[in-house]
Amino acid sequence: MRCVVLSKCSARWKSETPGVPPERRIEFRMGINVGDVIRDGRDIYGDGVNVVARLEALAEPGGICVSRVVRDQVRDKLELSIEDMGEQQVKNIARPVRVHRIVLDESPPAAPPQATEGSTKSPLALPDKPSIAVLPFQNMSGDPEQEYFADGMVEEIITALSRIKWLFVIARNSSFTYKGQPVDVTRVGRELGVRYVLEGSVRKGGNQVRITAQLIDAANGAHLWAGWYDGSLENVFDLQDKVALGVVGVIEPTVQAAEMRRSSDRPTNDITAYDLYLRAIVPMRAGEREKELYVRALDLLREAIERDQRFGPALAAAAFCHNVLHVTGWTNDAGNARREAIELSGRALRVAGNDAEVLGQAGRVLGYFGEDLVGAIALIDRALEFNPNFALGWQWSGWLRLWAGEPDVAVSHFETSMRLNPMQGRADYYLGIGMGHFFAARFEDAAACLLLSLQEGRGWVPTHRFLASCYAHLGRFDEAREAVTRLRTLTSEVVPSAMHWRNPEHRELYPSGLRLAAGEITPTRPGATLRSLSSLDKRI
Amino acid sequence: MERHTIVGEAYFFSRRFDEAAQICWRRSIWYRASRVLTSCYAHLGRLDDAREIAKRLRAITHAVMEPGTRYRNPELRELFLSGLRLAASEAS
Repeated sequence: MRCVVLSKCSARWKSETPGVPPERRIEFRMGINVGDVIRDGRDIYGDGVNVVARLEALAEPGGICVSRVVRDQVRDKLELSIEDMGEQQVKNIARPVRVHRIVLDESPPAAPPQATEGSTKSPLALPDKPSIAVLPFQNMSGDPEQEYFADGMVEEIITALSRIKWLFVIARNSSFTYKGQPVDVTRVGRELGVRYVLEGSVRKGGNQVRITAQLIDAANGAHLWAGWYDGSLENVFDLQDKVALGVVGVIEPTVQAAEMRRSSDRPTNDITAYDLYLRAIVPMRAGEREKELYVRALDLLREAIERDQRFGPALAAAAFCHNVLHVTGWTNDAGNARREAIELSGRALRVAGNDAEVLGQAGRVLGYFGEDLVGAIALIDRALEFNPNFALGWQWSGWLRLWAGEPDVAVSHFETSMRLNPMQGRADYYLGIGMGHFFAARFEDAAACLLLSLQEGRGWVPTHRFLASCYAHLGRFDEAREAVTRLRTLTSEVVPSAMHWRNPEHRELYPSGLRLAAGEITPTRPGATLRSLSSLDKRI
Repeated sequence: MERHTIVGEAYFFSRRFDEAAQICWRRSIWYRASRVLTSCYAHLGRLDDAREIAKRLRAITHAVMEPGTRYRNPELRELFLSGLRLAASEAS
């Protein structure tokens, strides 16, 4: 009851300051906890007091945060909307504190990001399930050329761990930012927001592989487990799974091997094909955006597929390469790239339709090229069901939702991907979120995001296109023309096909801005573009 | 559509600090938004406000400063970190 009174008061305090800019209002935050306190004259102290101070600090301005025990006392008894903020690591309290937020009104001033299954809401707070980052393993082979193999092994171990639904696993692009650095594990835990860190080494000599690994508690640096596994290259998939199983067995001793079993059989029996695949995908996963990289990757993947026609991940990765070459205009035969991508995706799905990565990549490719966007989204949803830690999958889902005309869902999926991949370069995320705002006709916000994407990235073709279109719709034609000039240095195709934007208004909005920017059409009268867009804004 | 912290970051790096502050203030329950807000206030010369946000951050985490390595562009990273450094040193 007291909570209700307090929440009403808080809401009133907020509404009693009209006309005052939000950043100048005095808004009180509150924390509520139930626990023992020690009285010392007029002072009180103890754990209960410490917790409440932390809860207060976590509340939004004008808001109320409560502990789990308070939530348990009042839920089902009071008509309050209470939102779980997950476990938070707070200062001077060793154990994480479960925090709940009282939703005071329908439009809270600081609404948290839209929650999705598998996501957490606070970028650097500990997730509400065991969390782990796998650092790059040392290449002990004595040959720098074998670096790709060590990196590939780590990626496969990350994938194996990611299949466990109750485990939160940081994506490789974030954990690999520590490659080649002396590592302070507690710092890694804090920066990535994880409880456990796995490090190790890979030694490859001839046909033999040795993988060593040690699991460390990032909260205190304590070593929890160490193991090493020897085997031949033919058994490399078993070795990867054994490492992953050793790790999860420490975190949760009752884990069943079946829980993390590959959803399909081993991807290939041809170790040379697997080696070619690793050589192709390791640089791709590093997030570089260079034509040569994708052309080379495609050559390697073709060789791999020639050796094993049923190598699902290689087929899907090759389709993805064609997709990238098509998007960027880096292919001389866009029609062929489309046909190849669709055909390779279909083959990959037929031979490895239960592999999360294959499903995700095929969904991404088919969604871009194909007619059946709903089907493509279903493929990615299935991939995320198999592997909720699939950061790239969440990102791809974001793209598909953009194409489907669901910018809000897209942005929330980009946010989930960012939490799983906190150290990843942000250029793609800024692009995706900028596009979301573009299609919601918030061109100022979109332009800021797109500009930042360019500053953070390396001149990704679609970013220049959207920025040019954005400036044109804002009536900033000088900047629009400049963007087109920069775009022409990367590709001759200024106005691409907009077929993958399923919403007809979106399909018109994007190229129409580009045509304006390129001078192919002129606005019929000053401000006409913006006026016509304001009606679109209302409809959206 | 909700204006996520990332839009605040985008305005921050466009040096449109007032707009960035408005967005990040509304999302200052989150570490990421709080850090951008702290840096924002510092660059606006509002050191009292920057100190206040840094103090609030200190209440919930030891790490007011962060490496900012997710920002790949060194100039942007320095813009972000210089504001944080200013606020953190003022607050200590």
